[in-house]
Amino acid sequence: MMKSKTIKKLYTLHSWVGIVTGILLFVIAFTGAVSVFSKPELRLWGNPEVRSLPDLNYQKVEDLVAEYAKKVPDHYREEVMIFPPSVNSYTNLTIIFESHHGDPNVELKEGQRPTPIGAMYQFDPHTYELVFEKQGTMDEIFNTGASGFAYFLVSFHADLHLGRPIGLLTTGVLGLTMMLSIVTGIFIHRKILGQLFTFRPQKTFSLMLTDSHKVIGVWGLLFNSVIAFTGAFLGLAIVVLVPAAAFVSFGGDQEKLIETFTAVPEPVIQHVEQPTQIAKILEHANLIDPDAMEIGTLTVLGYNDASAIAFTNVIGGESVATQLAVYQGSTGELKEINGNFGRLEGASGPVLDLLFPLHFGNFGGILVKVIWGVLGIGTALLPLTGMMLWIERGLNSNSPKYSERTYQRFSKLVLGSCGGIVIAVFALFPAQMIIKQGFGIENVTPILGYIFYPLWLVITVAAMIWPSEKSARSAIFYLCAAVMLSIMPINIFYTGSHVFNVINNGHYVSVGIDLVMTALGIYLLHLTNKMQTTSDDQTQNSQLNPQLQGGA
Amino acid sequence: MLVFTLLTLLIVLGLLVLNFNGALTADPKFQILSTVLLIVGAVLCCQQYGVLRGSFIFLGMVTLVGTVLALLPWQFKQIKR
Repeated sequence: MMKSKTIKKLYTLHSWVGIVTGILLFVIAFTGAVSVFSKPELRLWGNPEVRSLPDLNYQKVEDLVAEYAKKVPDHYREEVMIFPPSVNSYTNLTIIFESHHGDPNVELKEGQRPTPIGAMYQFDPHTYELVFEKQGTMDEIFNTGASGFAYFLVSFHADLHLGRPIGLLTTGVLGLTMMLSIVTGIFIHRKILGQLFTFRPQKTFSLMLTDSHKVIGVWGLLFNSVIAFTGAFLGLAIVVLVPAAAFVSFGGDQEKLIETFTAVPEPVIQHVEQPTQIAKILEHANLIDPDAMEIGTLTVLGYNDASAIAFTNVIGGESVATQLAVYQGSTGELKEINGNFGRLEGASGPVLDLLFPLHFGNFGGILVKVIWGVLGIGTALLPLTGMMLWIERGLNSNSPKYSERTYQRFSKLVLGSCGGIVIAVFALFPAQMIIKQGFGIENVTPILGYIFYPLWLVITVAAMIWPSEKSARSAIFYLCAAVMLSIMPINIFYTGSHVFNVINNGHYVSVGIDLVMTALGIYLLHLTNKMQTTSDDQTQNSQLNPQLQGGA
Repeated sequence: MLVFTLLTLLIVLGLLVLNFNGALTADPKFQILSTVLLIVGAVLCCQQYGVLRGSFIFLGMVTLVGTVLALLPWQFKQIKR
């Protein structure tokens, strides 16, 4: 048995880790729970033009690649990438020709790596007419990329918009602290199984907080452990693990390390012309698994050579991890299908392949997303209930460590920052629609920052200076409900999609989001009214009691 | 949809019989019944979604249903067995 002194120390560690990282953990967990639905659900909601994409004519795609391959220099055909129109990447059919070794006419200095260059062509998915073209370095070409509130939210969850290495390091370390909280939590709550169903809200507020903290923590133990571990790995892999591994084994060359373990080996060009069977490959990839969610980019190495190989990602299906299907380009035959890290020996490959889908919850359609989203909210509630419990115990203690004012200030900070992030996240919905549809601005992401951060800051500061915490809480809840309830009317106003025409236009996802947000908004409104009534009753009772006592 | 409904029902029943007045039941009959229901649920889930994917989906559903059941207001009432 563990000594009570050790348990006390672990309890102190658990409390302090929670107090120091609690608000940030809530922010990361809440944005993560919403980000589960970023692709395709939120992108579909925020970009009405992609709500109904046409089926692709694969032969037409093959013909377009052949036509534009003649228009680019020979060295651009080293790699051809075909992006079928998709909610998750480009909404137009996009074909990119890339030269890995840059311009052969440019002389490189000693030790200098060539800059990959290429040409991008985008076609209307309905008419197959060229709508956009661009040439330049691959960095410039890929900058013509994703924008919108879904992307904004995901990147905020990943690195808090602090970039590399600080942002990723922060989220990675937060994953580690969450693991520490889980481990210390297991040791200090020893009667874990006995309290599986213990919840006593009718007794005291403090007991309700204790029970909900334990219930959410115990039931979500496995889920939270997986999310904390995978989150820590995803945050630290790029900034710590890959550079360290590259330093040890590849002389510090990180790109070479990644290529060695993940990239499909380039074919040895035979210089025997044989057409690459793009249509046949796309058709086959689409049928690999009838349960699969989506076919990703088709990449061809050594286009129109007898040695050409083509590969594509298949997301979804029975396997949890994304699968890489590799084809012989000239015949269109499937050579092999395995995970992205399938080339790693031993158990590490399959384990690495599992980390991504287990964190993102994108391996079983909307069912798994809903489970991951709701459990993610539970993860966010853990630090919140923990902090509230610490405040409550401090306020009710006979010998508190800090002054009453300190606890109240911290309580207001928790309320403002956590409530503020929730409102700021939901405010991104109407903001995206108004900026994009109302003002016709395509690149929405930079503008969203001017709404998201000031709103969060204003709510946090307002909660801090608000005279009463109870009225500040009601105001935040009402504001949050109002923002949620505004989502459906704004969607109807700008896109005309609603529950009565959803069968005709097939916009089930966006209408579904509208309905969920409205239901949540109504529930929050009801909850706030109920809290207000209970609070008023308590105030009246406390005013009456002294009079009654005086009368008696 | 039918399999999903059946799966949810099995998990809900499997967890309900484990709850005895907010604590884990000590009655071996209910423990065995719960184990059987949850095993049938797990097998059904793996059969429907594949072993690996099904296992993760099953664990996720148990977590979600367990949390919701534990926080539901009706369970404040005392269970008489």
